[in-house]
Amino acid sequence: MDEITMFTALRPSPPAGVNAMRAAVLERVEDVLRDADPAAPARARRTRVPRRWHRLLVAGGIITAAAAAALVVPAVLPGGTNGTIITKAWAVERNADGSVTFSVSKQFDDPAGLRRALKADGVSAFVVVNRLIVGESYAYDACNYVNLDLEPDAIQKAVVTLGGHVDAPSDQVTWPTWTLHPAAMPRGSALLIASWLPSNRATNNAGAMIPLVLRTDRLPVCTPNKPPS
Amino acid sequence: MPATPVDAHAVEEDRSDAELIARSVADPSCFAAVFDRHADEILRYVHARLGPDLAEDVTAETFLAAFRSRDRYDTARPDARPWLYGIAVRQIASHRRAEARYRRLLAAAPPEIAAEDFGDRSAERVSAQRVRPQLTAVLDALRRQDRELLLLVAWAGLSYEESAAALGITVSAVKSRLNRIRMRTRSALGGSNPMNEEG
Repeated sequence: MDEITMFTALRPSPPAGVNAMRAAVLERVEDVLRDADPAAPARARRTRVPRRWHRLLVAGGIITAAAAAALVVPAVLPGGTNGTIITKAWAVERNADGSVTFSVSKQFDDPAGLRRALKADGVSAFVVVNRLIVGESYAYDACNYVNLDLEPDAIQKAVVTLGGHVDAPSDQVTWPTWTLHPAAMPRGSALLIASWLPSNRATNNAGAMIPLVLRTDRLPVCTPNKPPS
Repeated sequence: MPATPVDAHAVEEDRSDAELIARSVADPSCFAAVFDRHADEILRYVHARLGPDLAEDVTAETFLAAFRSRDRYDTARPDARPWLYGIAVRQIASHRRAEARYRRLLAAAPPEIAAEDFGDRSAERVSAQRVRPQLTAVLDALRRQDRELLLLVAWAGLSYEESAAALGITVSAVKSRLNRIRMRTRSALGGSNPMNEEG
């Protein structure tokens, strides 16, 4: 037997629950694709998307495309700090190439601090927190940002990439880590970063939405969000 | 020509991944077939790398990332598996600590070896169990990119060509790296291959 094949011995067997896991993921993807299909009835799209998958949709930029950039975010707070920093709420690390990697924890409750840390690393950002109502797909204590004035897709991709490593305890990086490239941000632009947090913090479903590059450094107008009727 | 009833599902089955992905740019629902084909495999791989706690989320992240970048898929590649594995590898890389924890957990409590890996070659299974600690040590000591390659070949069963595509390297680089891993493994096992010895 080849030495490479020997490493098969280290592969763990699937757990007994893997079938249920697979079925759950399948169901969610079906919901996502249904939601992204503009031909599907709006009410069905809204009610069928599980809360966590809704967050993933937003993180993946799918809802923003499918729903004409209708985002749900609450108010913004001020802030100020610097360097490679790890807090209970977030972690920011400046990389040698000038990029900045960040992640938020499920205890994320310090948008102002994250905003200051990013600002110190050359990233102008609006950082907001969405309080999700457990069991629902939408945040009711937030506001809608519609018709966001976004930079073109090429710039979005140049500025924001999924992944990167923050050298922080795992509970500080519970959701996707993002790497930002400040040098690729056009003058006068700013990021919009929204984090999704269950109102009771009972789950691990906190996470940062994909940062979006706005053409302007002014926070878009907030329209109060209403629960779906 | 008269219209003929067409089984849409059967038509999708006949299409290559590349065709489905290309069509999904205009019709996102076509991506469902790509998911149906490969989600099971990707989920098992992610589970093997990160454990049950993260498998579901990271698999979802993988397919979301794939969906978002479907317009950049190289349609000259009919099979999307290498592409999906490549995305999964990058997603897994953002969970290094969790991965390391899970590997330590596995090393501390070795799981049952999947029978299908060795079929009825029970002697090889016994030998593989015997050298688990050494193999674990080799795996831990590898550079990250070498470990990714090794696990794509040994755990995901990708060919050299598929692994090269997944990792964005050349096939000759794959061969070179695997040879290096072979030598390292042989050295860790005392210069012999226990699989070639009588069990």
